[in-house]
Amino acid sequence: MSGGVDSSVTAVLLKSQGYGVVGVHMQLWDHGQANFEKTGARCCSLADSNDARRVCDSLDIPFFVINAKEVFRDKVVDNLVHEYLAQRTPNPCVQCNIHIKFSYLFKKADELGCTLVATGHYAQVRQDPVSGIARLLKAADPQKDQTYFLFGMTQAALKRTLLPLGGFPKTMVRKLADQAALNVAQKPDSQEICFIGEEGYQDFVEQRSPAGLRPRGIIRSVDGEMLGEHDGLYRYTIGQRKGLRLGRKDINDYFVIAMDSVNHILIVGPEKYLFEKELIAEQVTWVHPISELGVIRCKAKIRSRHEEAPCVVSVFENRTVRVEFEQAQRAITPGQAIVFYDGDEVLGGGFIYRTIRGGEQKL
Amino acid sequence: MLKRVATYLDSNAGAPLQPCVVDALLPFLSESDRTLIPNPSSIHSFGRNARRCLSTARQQIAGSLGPKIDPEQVIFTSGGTESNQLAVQGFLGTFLEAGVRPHWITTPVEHDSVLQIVSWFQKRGGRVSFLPVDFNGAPVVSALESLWNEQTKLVSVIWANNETGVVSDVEALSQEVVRLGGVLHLDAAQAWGKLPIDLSRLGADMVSFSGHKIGGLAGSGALWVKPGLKLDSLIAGKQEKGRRGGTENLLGIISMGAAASTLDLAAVESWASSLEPLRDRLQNAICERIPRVIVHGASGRRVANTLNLSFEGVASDGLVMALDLSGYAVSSGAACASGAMEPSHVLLAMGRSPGEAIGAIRISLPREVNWPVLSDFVDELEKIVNRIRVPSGHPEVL
Repeated sequence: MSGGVDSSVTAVLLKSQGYGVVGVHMQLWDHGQANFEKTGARCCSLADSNDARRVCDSLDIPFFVINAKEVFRDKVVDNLVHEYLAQRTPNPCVQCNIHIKFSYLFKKADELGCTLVATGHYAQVRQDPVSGIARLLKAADPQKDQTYFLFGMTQAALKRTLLPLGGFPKTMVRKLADQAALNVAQKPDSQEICFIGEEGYQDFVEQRSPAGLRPRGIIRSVDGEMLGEHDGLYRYTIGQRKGLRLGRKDINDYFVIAMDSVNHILIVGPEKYLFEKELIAEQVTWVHPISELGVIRCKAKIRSRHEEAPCVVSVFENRTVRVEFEQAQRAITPGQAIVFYDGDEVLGGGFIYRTIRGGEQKL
Repeated sequence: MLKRVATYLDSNAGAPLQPCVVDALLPFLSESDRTLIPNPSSIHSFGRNARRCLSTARQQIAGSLGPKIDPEQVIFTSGGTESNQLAVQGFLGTFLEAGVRPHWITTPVEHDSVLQIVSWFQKRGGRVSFLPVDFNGAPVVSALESLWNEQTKLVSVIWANNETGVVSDVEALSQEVVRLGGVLHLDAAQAWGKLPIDLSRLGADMVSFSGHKIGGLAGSGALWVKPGLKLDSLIAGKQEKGRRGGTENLLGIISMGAAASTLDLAAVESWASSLEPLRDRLQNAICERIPRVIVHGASGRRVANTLNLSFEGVASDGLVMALDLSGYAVSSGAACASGAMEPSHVLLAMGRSPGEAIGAIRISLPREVNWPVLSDFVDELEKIVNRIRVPSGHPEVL
């Protein structure tokens, strides 16, 4: 329980459904530790854990705070820094779900003797009564659907997961919070990366890495024209337009197209170079069991705010896949998650390793 | 799943109220003409009554600290934390004010309320040394002289450790501090009621006490100060002879006095002789039934009711929570403000690994406990430790 609306209403619903509920808040980060003020959209302040505690008090259920700072730093924070330094754009929420919420938290649930784990995610679980396979489905409210962040769930985890909010729109969840007289009913939704404040991720990465790992380099166009210098490739992401500081004032419609990590070159160009059809993804896991080394026709989503697009997925060994989209997609970004859907069902997903460029687009 | 009536095995965090305490408080709370809780500073009869209650409590407390202890040397505070901070800050502050950079010796196993003072003191130019502790966590008195210098003014040592129950050799310590020519402050929050205390025969200069550890109300504490010792107040005001301002916590003080009135030598000895065999039997039962247990401070001298254990491969947070859900209240070493558990600084100072230090639980028996209750507890503990030790069915995905 983060202390926000969603996990609070989850607890209310479970209690009303007759479950024996134990509330758990995971201390992931040290934000508000020193001060008692609310940190707004950021998580893990003392005020947040106290909000969660009050909800549990009002429901008369036990409440515990679990110290997960070390595993969070190890699996989520250090991973984020490492990914940026490797010229990739990470997704810490996906890492957190894989390593913290649906792994570490489950371990703690085992220790406490809890058979099921519920979260306030907007997604749905259906267990097929015949095959026994647990299916991960999109939320009823497409605006709130969070399945993109949940593709790393295993069958073992899914079979003991409850997602009571998956069938509700957010407005209904706020109404339920209001009805239950929860003081968190009007708390704002969490935003962006919970452990990174207003300083932004660039400062965050700089504070946690030696300068030698962040070499400066040149900016050149897709045609090979030298256009300026950059302060480190970690400051950019594919498709970025703002803050390029190009030497030529007459260019203002260039985007980051690619990064040459060997020579530390930032490659920029017109928007058309952003569109590509094929990619390689790695560390792929399947929520829905699939046959090995096959070919799957499905849809894929290459970032959280991206419309899923039809594609063909060729499954290789070593948890690697090749994805070919019917239509070229804009700004396929290494490090971001790619999630495969069959209708409303999540098949699985992985992390984008690189694109495969078409002949005429060789940079 | 949830057992409603829980068994309380966390007496070092706060002991159950003594029956005589309830009797002493009830007249103030029952519906009579005395529902008023008066201000002892008032001139009228109500105030005089309250002042008399303070005086009685002061005598009761002095009486528990040894023969011929002057009640006027007892300062009422809000608890052990304030007593410790009044002693250390109030005493060292007199030197800082005079522009001297005093040297303070304490130990790494002190209660957090003492360790919190370290940065305050250093920021103001003071220097701190830590007296090492042995494998059991007892301060090594013989090392004191090697840390001593001309500026050494104060030595602060915990009498009985709140986490492990390990007892410091305060007799040897006080002799050594007297010989070296310093002032000795003892934190007796966990020693009061658990060990025989005779301040008239001990060379200590300041001793801290806490009301709720002996079955009084939380929010009450005391600092005993040797006659003639110069001490600055932390809270300015004319109460407590100018050493502690603010209206006295009358009910807390009455509760602490009533609880202290039961603590004669015979009572303390009977408490220890009834609990020590139970604690030892509990320790043996746990070690026999559950493999890979570490008992912290086992070969040292411990107060009779305290048992601190780590179970290899088991983090204490899950264990304490699981025991709570099964109806047993125990504690783990340290928690941050949110309640998340951290490795115990006491066990780290005793040379335990961070894994062992975050895995420790403290069982502290209340007076009323009996073996059948503890036997059931061992059954539950064994079940939970075995459950936690089974490898999780959810291996890391990546």
